[in-house]
Amino acid sequence: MTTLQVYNLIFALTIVSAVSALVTSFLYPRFQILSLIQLLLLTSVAADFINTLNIIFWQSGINRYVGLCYRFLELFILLQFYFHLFQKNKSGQFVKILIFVLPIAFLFNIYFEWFSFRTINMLVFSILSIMYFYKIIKEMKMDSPVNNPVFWVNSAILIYFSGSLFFLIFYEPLKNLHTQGAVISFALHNTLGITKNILFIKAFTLTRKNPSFVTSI
Amino acid sequence: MLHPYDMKQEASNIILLVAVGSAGMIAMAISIISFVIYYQKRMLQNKIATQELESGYQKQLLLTTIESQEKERKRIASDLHDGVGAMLSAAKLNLNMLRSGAIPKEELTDALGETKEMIDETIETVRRISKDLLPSSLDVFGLSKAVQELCEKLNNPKTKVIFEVRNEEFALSKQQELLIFRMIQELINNALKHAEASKISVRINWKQPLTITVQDDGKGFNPEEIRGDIKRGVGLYSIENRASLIGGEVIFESEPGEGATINIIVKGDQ
Repeated sequence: MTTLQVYNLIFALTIVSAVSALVTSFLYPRFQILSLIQLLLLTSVAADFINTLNIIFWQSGINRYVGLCYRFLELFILLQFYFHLFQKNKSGQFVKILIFVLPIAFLFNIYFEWFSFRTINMLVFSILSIMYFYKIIKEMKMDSPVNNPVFWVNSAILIYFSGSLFFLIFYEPLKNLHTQGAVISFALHNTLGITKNILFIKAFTLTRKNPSFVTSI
Repeated sequence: MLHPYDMKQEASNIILLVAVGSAGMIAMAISIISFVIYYQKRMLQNKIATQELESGYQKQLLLTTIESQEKERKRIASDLHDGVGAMLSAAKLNLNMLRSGAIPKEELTDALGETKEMIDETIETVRRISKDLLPSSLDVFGLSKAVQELCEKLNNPKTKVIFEVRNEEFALSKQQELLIFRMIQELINNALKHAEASKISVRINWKQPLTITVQDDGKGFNPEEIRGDIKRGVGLYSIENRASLIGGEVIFESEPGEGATINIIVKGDQ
């Protein structure tokens, strides 16, 4: 199997896992905070669908504007998610500031391209997910985290964003030096995406087992 | 322009960096997640163990309270039967004999006097039982007077029970007075039962915060060791519980062979 075939297989699995997670989210009881993750999955599936159509019918790669729209919505939705988690704490004020500052910085950066915004995204969400784990330990309201859907969503976000950090930082230089290496690293990034979606599925299935989880977040 | 060999070398370095960096970050993420799960599990186990221990204490406390109540009821029943019952039966017998004329005329006065004495003794016994249950001086004269009477009553040749009061008494609620009285009563009884002391002193310092000190020169005990034993520690726990009901705290100072000093500190009403 060639590198490109492996990449295509992993890309296909990423789409399948995202669709599975989206379908699962509709099958189980919905709670406001998890509806945001459902919206994120919908956005992801829509972006993947448009890109797939692009590849199949217009023989072009991933559409830049679709990617930008998706990243903007991902940023906004996840910031709202963390605002819900931290709204009763002091950290809620910090997230509120991020909700205003980051989307504006993102829009400016599209035009000026001052820095790699995706790297900042990765760092911000890695830090927010670690902050939420710290909150769980400090407040001791969650008796059994493995049965709490929000725990698994937060774990998914931490693994995905922290794992993709190095890939994103070195993707551009690697693309210029070694295309195959860039393809492999992108495939690794997609593997992390599959892991993220599997953990989202785990989170949604737990809402039926533990419907009162909202009180412990 | 970089030499192809250099480009390949640089590309290898970057791939290695990406691989190691990403693996490191994923390992860190998994470690954090595992730590949170493990830590919460340990905390939950500790919480359950603490709850079980507390439940055990509560159960033991309840059993001891019931046992104590039954003992008290048994004592009252015995006092009533042996004291009051016996006296009243004897008085009734005398009155029946007087009515039937079984007692000769010359012995009538003596018989009536005897019957009156029996009734007087019965009244005294009833008063004593009533006072043991709830001293009337607590309601009428206040805490200091009630404790003074208690000390006088429990004072005996083997163990001197001394009472001392400092500063002017201020008003406490009825609930506070009763709880403090019961704590003092229990502490003195414990000292009499277990301490083998020659002297027990009870001191009330009516200065805010209200401080009650019960001190003995007996054989002492290790408070932490007693607390660790559920059966033996229930008494200490019961006194602390009563103190906490009125916003007070109890400090136990004692060592084996060194006697004991128990301070009850209560923030009373001005």
